[in-house]
Amino acid sequence: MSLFRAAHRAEVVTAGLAVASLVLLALPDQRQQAIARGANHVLLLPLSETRGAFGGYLGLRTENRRLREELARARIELAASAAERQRARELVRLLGFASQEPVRLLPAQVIDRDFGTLPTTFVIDAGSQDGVRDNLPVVTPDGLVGKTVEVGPRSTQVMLYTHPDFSASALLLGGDHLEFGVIRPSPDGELQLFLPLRSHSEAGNRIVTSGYGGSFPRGIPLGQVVEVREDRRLGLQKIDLVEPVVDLARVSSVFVLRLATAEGGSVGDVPRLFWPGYAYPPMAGEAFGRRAAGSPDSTAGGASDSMGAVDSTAGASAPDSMPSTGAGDRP
Amino acid sequence: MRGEEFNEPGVQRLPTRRFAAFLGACLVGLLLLEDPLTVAGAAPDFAVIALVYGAVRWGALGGAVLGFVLGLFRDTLLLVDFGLHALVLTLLGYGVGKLREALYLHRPAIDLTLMAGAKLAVDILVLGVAASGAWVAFEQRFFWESPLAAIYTAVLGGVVYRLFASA
Repeated sequence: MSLFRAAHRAEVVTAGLAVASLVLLALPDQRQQAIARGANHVLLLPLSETRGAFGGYLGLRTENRRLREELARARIELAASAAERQRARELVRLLGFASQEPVRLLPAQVIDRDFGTLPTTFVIDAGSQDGVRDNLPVVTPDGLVGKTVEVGPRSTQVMLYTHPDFSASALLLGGDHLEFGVIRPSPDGELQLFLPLRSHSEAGNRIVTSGYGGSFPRGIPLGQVVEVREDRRLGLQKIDLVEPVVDLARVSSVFVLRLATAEGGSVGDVPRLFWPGYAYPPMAGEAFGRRAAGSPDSTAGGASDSMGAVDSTAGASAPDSMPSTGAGDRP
Repeated sequence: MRGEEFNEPGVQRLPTRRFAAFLGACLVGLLLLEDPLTVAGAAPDFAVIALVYGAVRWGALGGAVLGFVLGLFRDTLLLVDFGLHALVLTLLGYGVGKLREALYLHRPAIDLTLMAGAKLAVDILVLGVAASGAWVAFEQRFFWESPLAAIYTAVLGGVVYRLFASA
């Protein structure tokens, strides 16, 4: 008997263990789980805690590796998108401008330009299918870029303020007076403001479009006077040198100013734009014009009064006064 | 062919302490490493690794006892079908222990074959019971994860054992 047990000890033990396993397996689920949990708590809890800590460490290593990979990828994407971010900032700035100005602005991208020393034309990616027409102002948030001249279905040529044929009726914003003139580029590309000889201007005076001439509404920034010059050739007018507010070399996105008036109107019907950050000329502009024709001195005084009135109300009334435009604003 | 023959190069016999360290390493692996080492749904089975080398070293009796202990350990971790792994690993330990008396254990990589076969057998029995007739689920796991896990277990176990042998 003992010999049998010795010879088959392995089988006996195995059978006994198998029966024990089957007994455990045959227990009700609740009983099984109770035993398992008890064994787990007594025998394996310390090991489980170690496992949890180690698993957490492994998890941290995995997360660290993942974060490093993401960081590397993000760095690459960041470097690759530098130009895009610059462009996005510009567009956000444009949108901010658009949200402030209640005129209808058609955003467009510059898709071609002449590459001469001094650019005189742009081509933008908006055309007649987008509502662009001839002779509409083209601006950036800084100010005037030019105007549309050749409108195609999907693209338009823009005459820049540096173009030899460009000119615009301008309004000089003096500290206490206004002066009307014409702005035009010189043959070498400098922007010049032609003023009556009796007018008064000084460096730092800002210049906006006057609203006269039908092409541009009043109030689009053009630049500021950097040097006051006399017309030594004829001595009949002043020709101030103007520093433009728009750096054409940096322009890649623009707005075409579309109708801000009722259907059938034109941009020229808009009496004035309240440009962000600008003090605007008074709407008594025509009265000012009449007085300017007769009496320069009284003009300055009248302009000063009017300017003060506009300045004090522009901030509050600008958004509401723009959308419906002009006719209502006209005196 | 008795036990001495497994001392052939196919399965190098480790000194007692080193073998104990190997079993301890398998226990650590069973507790901590199976989840992190899972690849494509296949995890190495450190219980099978320890069981195969233990059964090869100690024979059918030792293999059965070791299998029962390892099975209970695994059941305690899983908290379901308590006793199932104990039963399966007990039988497997006994079977591997018996095989060592018949197999030519000096054959190279015989331990890898044993581990792969043992892992497949464990999966057949455990998955068969766990699936409880849900054969679609059984097939999905058995025909992809189980072969991969068997190979994974065999290779990893062989590497770990040889590392301890060469240390």
